[in-house]
Amino acid sequence: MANPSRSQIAGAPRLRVVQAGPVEAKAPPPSDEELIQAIENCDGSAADALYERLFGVVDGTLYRVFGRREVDHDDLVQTAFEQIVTTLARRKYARACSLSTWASTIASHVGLNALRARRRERRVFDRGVSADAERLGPVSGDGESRESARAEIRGHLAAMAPEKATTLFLHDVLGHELAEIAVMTGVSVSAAQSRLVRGRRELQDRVRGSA
Amino acid sequence: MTHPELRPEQLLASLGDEPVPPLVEEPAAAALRRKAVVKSMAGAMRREGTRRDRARTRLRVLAAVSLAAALALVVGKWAWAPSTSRAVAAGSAVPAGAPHIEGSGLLKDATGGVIVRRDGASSPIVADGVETALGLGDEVSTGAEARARIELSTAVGTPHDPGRAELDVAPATQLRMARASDVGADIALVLGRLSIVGSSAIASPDATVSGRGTFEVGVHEDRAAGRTVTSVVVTEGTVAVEYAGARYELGAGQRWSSDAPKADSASPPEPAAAAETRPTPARSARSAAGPAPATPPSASELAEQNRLLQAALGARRRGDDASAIRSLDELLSRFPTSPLAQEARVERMRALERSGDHAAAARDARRYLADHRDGFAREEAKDVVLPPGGSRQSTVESRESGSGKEKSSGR
Repeated sequence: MANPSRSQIAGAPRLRVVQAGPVEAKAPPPSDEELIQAIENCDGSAADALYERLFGVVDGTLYRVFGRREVDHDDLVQTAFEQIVTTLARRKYARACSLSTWASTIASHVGLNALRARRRERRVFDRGVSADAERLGPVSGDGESRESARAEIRGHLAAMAPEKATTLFLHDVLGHELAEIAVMTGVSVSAAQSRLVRGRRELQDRVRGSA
Repeated sequence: MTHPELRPEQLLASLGDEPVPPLVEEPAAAALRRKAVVKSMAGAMRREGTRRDRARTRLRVLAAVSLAAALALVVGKWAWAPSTSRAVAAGSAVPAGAPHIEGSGLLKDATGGVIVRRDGASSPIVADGVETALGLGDEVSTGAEARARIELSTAVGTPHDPGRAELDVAPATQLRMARASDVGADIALVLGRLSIVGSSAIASPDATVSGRGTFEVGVHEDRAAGRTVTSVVVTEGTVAVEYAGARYELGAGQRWSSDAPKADSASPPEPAAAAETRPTPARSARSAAGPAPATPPSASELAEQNRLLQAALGARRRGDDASAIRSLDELLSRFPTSPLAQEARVERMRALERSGDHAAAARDARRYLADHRDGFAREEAKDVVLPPGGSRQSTVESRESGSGKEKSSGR
């Protein structure tokens, strides 16, 4: 018995060869090195790729600094990106760390500076109220207590000297190594370690003082 | 503390552990933010590019200005610097045809404490061991043990032909660079002695000496008379002395002193007359030290003496010290009481020293010091006698422990 042909099988799906259209080969995204090179050459077309590459890092870092996305979050993102581009174009990035680490450092600077500025503003406009207390709001329950403690820590960071606050933030919050922090902040490892130790001690004292 | 269970670093760590919620927003809002950020980044890059261009332009302008300033400095220095300095840069002392700047010269081979006082400058320059360009009005003074040499590009328009001269500056000499077109001399000799080879005009406090050849001009103080005395010794060539409105022409072998400016010493310079023009021993320390001839030499003898000395000097100029020594030996052996004997001895001592025979030169120097204790080259002779690094005292002691002749004349 002869086997039925495919065309004879009722109800079977019929396959046919179709001419494939031109496949648009998607260009691979530029490497970190290519991006850096383009920005060092002040090539404006690299801006979009850089945004694509680093937005997540910048957004996340700023979120960790403030504990939320503030109303001026977009402005801070823009400022952070401008500073990233400027430092890269001026060849301040020594390629000793990854581009995303560099971006997180810049974003930390921007965020902590903004936090500090807000703290000053609150002091000027409402001296009678504790800035941190105002920011923390009422405390109720353990979760809220922890949240308020975090907010208080942020307040203390904003009150500390920028270099100590930045070192603490980069090390204890973002988890960068001391050697990396030393490169990113332009100091020796021992100086970075000293800043970290002194920063922790100062933070401890501030927390005790406010208790 | 708000949350007593957690330490600050734990709280900090908890900030890091805090999850970052995804950004929930309208695509339009995200696109808008993206567009704004990208635009601001492009603007930052443009600004940075402009800043870089400006910095580059500034750097170029600065480099161009620096280059122009350096060029102006070099050109200005070239135009201002004495011709002799330029000649040194070019590798020769004074090249033929080099532009001449009056009142300029080059001080060389300065040793023993040679001081240059710049015209208008407050502090003097110690010129020992360095070549120093001299300009108009600069004053040079040598210490008691010092000596130096000046290369001079002499002026156009002086009584003598334009050209060049080399001047040996003796110890304890003071001079000032002058301009021949102003004062009729290249150098104003205040005190001391200059040995000149070439063409030059020297102004002393009371006379002007100009000539071509080999001659010496000395100025010393006559304390008894309360004035300075100028003396001239001509070894080779012709020299004119202008003194108190009179002009004296001197030839080879003739001497002149403002202490005894006899009219019969004037031109034409007959050798016999030249001998007469020498200052009297009572009035000139230099000639007092020299052996006075018993009888005046004849004209032919003087001519022969001159010939031998000139032959020696010619050989010295050629760098042939051996021939120079032979001629001087002949002069000293044939005419031991010659008026040129002192000169010949000094030249012999110098030739021996140059040829490296220091022992013989020292012997000649000791003999010279014994015979001419106030001779014009006494300081030079002392230098030759002095062993390298030795003290004057030790030399005197060694001299005193030497021959009886030296002991009797040791100072």
